[in-house]
Formats: sequence, structure tokens, C-alpha cells
Amino acid sequence: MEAEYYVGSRQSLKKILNELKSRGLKVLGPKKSSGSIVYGEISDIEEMPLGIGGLSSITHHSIKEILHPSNQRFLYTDSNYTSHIPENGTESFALFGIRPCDLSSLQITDLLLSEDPFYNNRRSKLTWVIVEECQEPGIFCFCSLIGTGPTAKADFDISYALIGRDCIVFRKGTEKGEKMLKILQLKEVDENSKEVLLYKQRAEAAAVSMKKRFREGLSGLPEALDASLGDVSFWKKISDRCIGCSNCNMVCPTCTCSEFLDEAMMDGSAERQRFWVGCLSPVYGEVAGTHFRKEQYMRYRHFVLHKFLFPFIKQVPSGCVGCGRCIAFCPMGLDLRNTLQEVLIKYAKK
Amino acid sequence: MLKSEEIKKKVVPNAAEVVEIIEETKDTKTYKIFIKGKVSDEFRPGRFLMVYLKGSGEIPISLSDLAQDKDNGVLAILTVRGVGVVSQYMLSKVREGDKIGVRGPFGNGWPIENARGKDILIAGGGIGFAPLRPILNYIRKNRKDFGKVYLVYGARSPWDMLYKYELESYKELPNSEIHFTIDRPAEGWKGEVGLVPDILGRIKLSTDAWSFICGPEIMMKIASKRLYEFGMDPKRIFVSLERRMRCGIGICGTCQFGHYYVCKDGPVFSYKDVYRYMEVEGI
Repeated sequence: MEAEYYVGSRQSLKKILNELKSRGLKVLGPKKSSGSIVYGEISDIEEMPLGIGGLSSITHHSIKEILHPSNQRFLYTDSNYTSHIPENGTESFALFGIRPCDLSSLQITDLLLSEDPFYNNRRSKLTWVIVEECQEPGIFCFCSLIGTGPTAKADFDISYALIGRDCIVFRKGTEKGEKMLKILQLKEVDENSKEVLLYKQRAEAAAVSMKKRFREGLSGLPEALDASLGDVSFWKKISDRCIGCSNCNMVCPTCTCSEFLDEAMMDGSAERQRFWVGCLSPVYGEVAGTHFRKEQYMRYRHFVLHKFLFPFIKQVPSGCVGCGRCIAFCPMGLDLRNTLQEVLIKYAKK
Repeated sequence: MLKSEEIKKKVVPNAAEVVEIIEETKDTKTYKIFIKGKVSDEFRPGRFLMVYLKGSGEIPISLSDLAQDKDNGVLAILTVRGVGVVSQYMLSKVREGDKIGVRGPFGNGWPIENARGKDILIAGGGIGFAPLRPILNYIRKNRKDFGKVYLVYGARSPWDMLYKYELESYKELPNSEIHFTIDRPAEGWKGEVGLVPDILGRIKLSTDAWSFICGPEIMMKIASKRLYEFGMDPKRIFVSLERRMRCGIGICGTCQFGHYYVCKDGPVFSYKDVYRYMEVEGI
């Protein structure tokens, strides 16, 4: 029988990284940089924030930065009104060391940006996904509540989890991934081996701790949100502290809304830049002559509905991956989990 | 063609030539533009073009008349009111013979084909009459395919009425009831006075008519509600919505209305599909 689990060390991880690089891939993922954690090219595993629990809560970056960058040159138009889109030929790349929450965000951005030629191009160049599974949640994490973590569910080639200082449990995600684990001669282990049992036990403990405040999970949330739609005073109260900075949108791995900025050049040509825009920002919904989302509570409500109600109506996966970034980076301390809790308390059918 | 080539085409504007400009009112003009390489079949009533003025910006503009095929291209009609940066720039700077950029047409359009054999109500307010005009002209061309036609078109004042040069000719349409109305009485005005929903309340409509409504959102909301209460099927009442819109193809996310994207799920929606959202301000 084919083994699902393998055991190795940091050295094994290094081997995987080198193997990917030797195949000509650019390897991208979270890395330590100037006292912060950003997403960029990884040249050595020493740069990686290995084994850090709740990584998503301590980096404002996510894989969105790689697949749907904050600022893109979108269009070039010459003085004669002939337009074309700029070359966007990135090389094939691997995502390495990303966490399960970010992995799940791919499924959502794939849906939201299915007609986006720039995203599609980058997405088609993504050929390998190596996921670091979390063994310990951060204080803002709630992936287990959504069902996106702390272990990786699908769409990855290899996952790994650090269970000791230099002990790593690897798991195959695809045949391609399995093949690599075999090439690198990692030790195959039984699912009842002490390493795998420890890995599972820790993941389970992490999952349980994130669910603590929601005894009944999020069941009934879409229906509760639906019932809350017209309750203006409720949404005003809940979003009271929101100042519309849209930090939450920027750090959210699944917020993909964007704006265009057109600029005329001296030679009669013009360029279009596309950059992220958040639904919490005061311009969202504004048009010449009127504003379709005049008040802050309307924009906050949209943020919540877009994550938890609209996907339910459209029968697609939840728009939130539970990474907790929106909570960690809110300057006003607004906690999405509290919002969900209050919606459930007031509107869930008992 | 590869999918990637198809989606690339949707984000790149085509150059179009402005063939003719008609001054409608002090703040509104109608542009006849020629777009090479397109066919009129795509330019169904109710769809819109993203109009790009180089370096200034891009705005969604509904087709305001039926398009014609000509010289391996299409003559399309757009009516633009100067309200924002791009539309005002267009009104003040674009001349006949100039080039502009256009993408599309996008959106679903009015389901007029499905309304064959039925009575038709067209209710437009202000610039909202522009996207409805192609329906009217479609019916004029295919008169025998439709039942009685009711038209209610309202403007703020007589001077704000669009298409003054053809309004009278609508009255020649057989089996029709045409109402022009203005918000407040004005000297020399021979039509009616009152808001569009009020006029709808005054006329005797057949309950199985199909309704097509466009105007300020509050007018669409009140008009639709009135028609629904009058006994019309909410699946047969259609409104064309406006939102902040950047891409026109469902990738920028700025035109969301509830769970809909106005650009690709709309801009035309049945009242049945949107009545709940229309009651929730800012959704």
C-alpha cells in the first residue's frame, strides 16, 4: 500500500526546496524580512517562519500579493486609441510554506477572478503547492470554525507539519507530491506511528481551541444574516467603531475588489493601473451624482455578507478562510468573530 | 480561440469613431459611433458599453438605440449626460470625427424577445429613458409581434426631454398609449405633470403586460412596487440598475448589489429577483 505519511527533518524540507529550484521554478512563500514577514521569493529555508503558529495573524501579506498584486499595470493605449494589455509573462512558480488558510483562499479567488486575464495567467504558472500545516493557532485564527484548517484539505502537492525541533511529518497531497517524497527518500511511516499520532493530536487540539467560543459552530449563520439584512440599528451598532480605513480588505486573502486609475502621458498615450479597493472605504459604491453605500454600516455589512451570506446563496464555498488577518490588523479592534456571534445570538433560529 | 484570448479581449478597448453628435439638452448629448469588427447582434437593447476616454477614465453607458451593421462594423448609439468627470469631459471635449475607446457590449439586456405577443409597458425617468428607447424602436420595427404598447416618459422639465425630434412620432405607433410628463408645471407644456409612478397609477394597464423600467433607483422601486400591487407578475417587471462599475465583466467587484454583480448578472433584473434588496438601503 502507498504510504500517506513520511517523516523527515529540516534537511528534508531543504531538499524539497532545492529540488523545486532545480526544476527551474521560482519558489514563493512567507519569509522573514527586516523583522517582518512578507511573501516573496524564498532562497533558503533559514528565511522561512517555520513552525510559527498563527502566522496569518502576524503578516499583512498573503498569497493574494503573489496572484493578485495590489498594483498592476493593466492597459496601455497609444495616442491613436490602439490599446493592449502589458506583457504579463511570469515564470512558473511554486508556493512553499503557505498555510492552509491561504491555500483555501485560492479556491475563492479562482471563482472571483475567473474572468481576469492577469490572474488566470499567474494562476496557470502555479505548478507546485507545498503547505505548512499549523499545530498551534494564533489568537485571531478561526480556520477550524470555517473548515479550512489547521490541516490542509485539498489542492496541495505536499503538506508538512513541524512536530518537534527537527522532526517534520510530511503528507502527500498528489501523486506528483508523493513521487517527490519518494525521490528524496523520506522515511515512510504508518498512520499509527508515534509521529503521525502526535501530529494529529496537536492539529485536533488546535482545531478545538479555535472553536471554543462557538459551541454550535457557524450553523445557521447564512439564515441569520439573511434575517438581519434590514436591521439598520443592529448593523450600525456592530460597526460603530469602523472608521473605513479598509485595512481588513487589504489584508484579506479573498478580498479582490479593484479600481482603475487612468493616467494621460505627455506623448498622447495613456496607462491604466489597477489597484485594490476595499468595500469598507468611503468611495465604495459612490458614483457621479449619488452614493449607493452612503454610510459606513452599509459597507461593513457588505463585507460580512460577501463572506458569509452571498457565497451561500450562490452555493460556492464561504468567502472567508478564517485567517484572522482582518481582526489582527483592525486599528479599532473590531473582531469579525464578535460580529458573527452577535448575528447568531440575535438572529439564529433557536 | 483560447479562453485566455477571449478574456483578454474583454479588457482591451476598441477604437471607435464618433460619426455624429446630437445635442439633446443642455447637459446631454447623443453620440453615434462606428466600431469596426463588431456585429449588431451583440448590441441588444439594455446592454451597455464601457466608454473609455484616454487617460480620463471609463464609464458604463447603455445603448440608447438599435445598432446597425455597416462596413464590417457597427453603428451604435449612446446618450450621455454630463454628471461625473468622464461624462463631462466627453461632453466638452469629444467632437465628430474624434476617436474614443469602447469595450463590450456587456450585460444581459432587456428580455424583449420573451415578451413577444404581450402588451408592453415602458416607463422611463430622466436619462433612464435612454436604455429604454431601443425597446421602443425595436417594437416599432416589429410592430405585429407585440400587443398594446404603453409608454410613460418623464423628465424634470420640457427642456430636459431627450429625443425631442422623434417624441411626437411615437404617438403614430398603432395600438399605443403614450404619456409624456414633467415634474412641475411649465409654460407651454401640453403633456402631463407628475412623477412617472404617479402617472402609472392613473393609467389603465392590462395586468399581463411586461414592464420595462429605468430611471432613478427610487423611481424604479416605487414604480415596480405599484405595478406589483396592481397585480402584475414580479417576474415580468424589469428594471435596469446602475452601480459604480469599473470592469464591466465581473472581476473588479465594485458593482455588487446584494449577491449580484450588476455588470454581468444585470444590469437588467426582474423585480422578483431584486425586490428584497431594493428595500434594503445600501446593500
